[in-house]
Amino acid sequence: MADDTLLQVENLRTHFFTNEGVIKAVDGVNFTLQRGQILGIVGESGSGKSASALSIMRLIPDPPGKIVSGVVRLLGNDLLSISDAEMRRIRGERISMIFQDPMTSLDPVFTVGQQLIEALVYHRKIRKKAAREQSVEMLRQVGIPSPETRIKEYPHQFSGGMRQRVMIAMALLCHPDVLIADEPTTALDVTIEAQILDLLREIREMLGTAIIMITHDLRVVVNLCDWVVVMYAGKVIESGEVHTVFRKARHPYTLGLLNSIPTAGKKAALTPIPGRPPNLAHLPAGCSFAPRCPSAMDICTQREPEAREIASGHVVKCFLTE
Amino acid sequence: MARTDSSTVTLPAASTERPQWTKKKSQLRIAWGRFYRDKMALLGGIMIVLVAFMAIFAPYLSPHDPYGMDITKRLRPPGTPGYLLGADESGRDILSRLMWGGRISLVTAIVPVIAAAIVSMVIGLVAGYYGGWIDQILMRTLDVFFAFPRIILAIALAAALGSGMISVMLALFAGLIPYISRVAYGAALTTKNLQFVEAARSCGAAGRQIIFHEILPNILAPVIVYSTTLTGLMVILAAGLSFLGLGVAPPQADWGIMLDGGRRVITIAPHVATIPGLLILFVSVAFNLLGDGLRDALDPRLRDASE
Amino acid sequence: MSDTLLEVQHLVKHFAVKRQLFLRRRRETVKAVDDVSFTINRGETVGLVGESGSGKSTIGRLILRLIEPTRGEVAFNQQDILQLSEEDFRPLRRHMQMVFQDPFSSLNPRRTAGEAVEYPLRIQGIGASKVARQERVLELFQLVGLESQFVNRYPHEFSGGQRQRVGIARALALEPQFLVLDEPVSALDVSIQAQVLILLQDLQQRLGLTYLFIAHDLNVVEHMSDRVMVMYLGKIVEIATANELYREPEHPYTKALLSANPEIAPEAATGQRIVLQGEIPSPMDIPSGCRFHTRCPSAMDICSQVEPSLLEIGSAHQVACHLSEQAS
Repeated sequence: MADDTLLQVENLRTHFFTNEGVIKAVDGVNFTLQRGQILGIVGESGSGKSASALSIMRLIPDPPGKIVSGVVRLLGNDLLSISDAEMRRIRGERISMIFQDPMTSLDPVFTVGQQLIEALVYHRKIRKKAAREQSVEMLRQVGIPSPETRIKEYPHQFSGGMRQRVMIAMALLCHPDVLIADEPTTALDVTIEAQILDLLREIREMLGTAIIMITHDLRVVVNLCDWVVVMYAGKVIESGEVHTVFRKARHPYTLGLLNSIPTAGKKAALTPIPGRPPNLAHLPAGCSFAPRCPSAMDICTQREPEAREIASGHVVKCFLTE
Repeated sequence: MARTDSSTVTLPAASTERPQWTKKKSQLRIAWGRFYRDKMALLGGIMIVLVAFMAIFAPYLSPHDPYGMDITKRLRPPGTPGYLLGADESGRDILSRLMWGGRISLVTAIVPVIAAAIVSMVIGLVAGYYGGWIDQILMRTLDVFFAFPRIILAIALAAALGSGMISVMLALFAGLIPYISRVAYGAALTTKNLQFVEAARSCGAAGRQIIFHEILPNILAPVIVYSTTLTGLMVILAAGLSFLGLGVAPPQADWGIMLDGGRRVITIAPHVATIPGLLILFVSVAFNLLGDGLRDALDPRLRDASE
Repeated sequence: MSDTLLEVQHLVKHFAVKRQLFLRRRRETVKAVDDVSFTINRGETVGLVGESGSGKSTIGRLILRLIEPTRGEVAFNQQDILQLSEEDFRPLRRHMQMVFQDPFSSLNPRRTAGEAVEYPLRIQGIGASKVARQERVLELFQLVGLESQFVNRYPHEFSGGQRQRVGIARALALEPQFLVLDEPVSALDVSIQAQVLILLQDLQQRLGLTYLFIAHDLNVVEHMSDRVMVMYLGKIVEIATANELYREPEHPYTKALLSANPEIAPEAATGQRIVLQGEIPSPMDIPSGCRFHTRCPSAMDICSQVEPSLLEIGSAHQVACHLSEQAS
């Protein structure tokens, strides 16, 4: 383990116990995050990407969810074994999270300033005046014009892109080591999304914060991330450096995703992945992707493949690599 | 316009079996399945069915004549042989009076709700779909009624209409309309803006067709749920009006009148008032549970766990 | 028979909005669509791309008269449909239908899929009997790749992709010539999007349909379209063939949109990234002159004063920009 390792997720399993069965939302997920790295977690709905992030933050609703096993080490300390009170201190201070819809993350009845100040006072135990100054400065750093005036405004007075910036400001107030962003730009217009992605890049430069970017949009990953983790049915099926994975993808799902995205300028026909994502309460035996895989072999429906490192850093979970 | 015939279709194999269109799982069966799993709701439903059963079949089931007074049995406590729940201040069997009284109490509570729900749905649909000045006139008029506390309104109406079961029902009916209309109106507004209503318009459906086929089915659920819960309140309110003397006249009795009778002897024979009071409470709670259960059962649940 | 299926001239839609700011009542106008003109030829797919406030969704609805325009002309098969009364227009609705964006709210949750697809046939009085209509519904299901059993299922029992197929089947029920596709795949998972896009292309070929494809994703739009129109705050700022728009975008806004969509394969990079500053202005408060000047990296003085009009700068390539005006 290099000294630069910030976050280490090992064998994380989060299950949801419902009337319809046990939903294995996260089923044996492994990845690491280095200091200053931007890691993308990519997958479609039901892949477990958001559930993984919520597990790291220990924000899984219990019931019906439960982190069944695994280790999440932040600078050596396992977050899954500390007390609730300790975790509360870590949330917002060492790891922060921003979500897709800032309107539901920000309390509509308090001003932006009140929410920022409250967070600072809780974590840093500083006086209100100092908190206010730091908040204004943070708003400025995330690109909100006239922050001294805007800090007195309510969330609904901001546009979508601006609200997301406020969320980011709030998340960064205590200069956390890790920022988890769960589909932060999905609901934003394309040109605004570009601004937010730029901002995230700047944050990494300025503050050295490592970022975990959760998205379904491969283009966002290409735009922003250094490393990528591809998830399907609760498992990591491929991971590695972004350019390696996307140029030399080995897992049929990754290849299928790449081939089903229309790219401007290439009139090549799309080759969609047939079928639908699996029901997480009734996963097929063997490899979860086998029913839809064009290269499925007999062994694929019998056993689950192991994750193998086929090149430096490039890990694939597929029998085809053997 | 060019149309190739189906023999050149190369799409994923569609079954060649002709599906029977009538075999669709009706909404009711799906809802029942959900309802059945909710134990509390089931409890509420069973309770109401039991009470209703006893009320409907009172003539066959009640052990005594509800009006039959027997001074020797006056104020006997529950458990007295022949008088399962005891006797009241005139020696009448409480159980029998509950059964017979239930006929009045339940009808007085339920009928106004059903009538009000129907009228409210019409109001809500018209105001919600057409909007504009119709909306303003209807909803603002209803707003006036919201200003009155519900109980006061009911008492005032019942007093003005003279006492009796019909007056009580009319008073409750009038008092319910603003509330249920609001719910129907809100649901109609929400539904009106959904895309399937636009889709209906794009095929050329006219206003009335849309209201009946698209919007009405989608406001039924919230209205039914709300009305069921309100019925619980109506049971109490109806009993209250009777208690105040605005309901049926003696010798006819319902639960409210039994309460009134028991009030006078509450220090020496508390069971005379308490037992009808408890029944009113349980029936009311049962309707609430039923309403909750219906809410969970009837919700279309657009995102099922199976997705 | 002329090649032009749809001709839109100077289409305008202003929404009056009453805003109450405490005690001051203000009448504001949302200029959703502000003088838009274009033509669509039989058999082609015209893409319409834009962000929030561009007016792209409104245009689709204006053409189908789901919203009544403030002014303008819409000629379908050379007939001005805006002049007709609702009664007279109703039978013509058969020829133009819409596929909606949200797979959840575009189907009535209280109706089965079969009923939903049969509904247009019933409204328009097509099909001699219920059985005949049901037969047609089964044909349509097969056409869009849904199993016949699904006629008895309710929307909540379907996945998003299947629901969109039902929506497409419904749109095709009346045998329309023209379909407005309003963000038909935006709400779907990536792997399902491709399936539906391929289905749409397939259907267009087999049934000879004409499409107006509205989306915010430039890549999807270009993949599906022959020609593309780019809208900003209620006006068209550029029209070109899909190829040309990608290779030689003229308008600064188009360039910014393109640069926000990097290629997955970095070898095909399109040049330096353009990140626009500032927010998208509200359609209630439209900037003077060229609407885009507040965010335009190449804005000149004239841009804040005079609104540029669409000029033809090449074969079938039109741009509304002072820069292009000066260059030509």
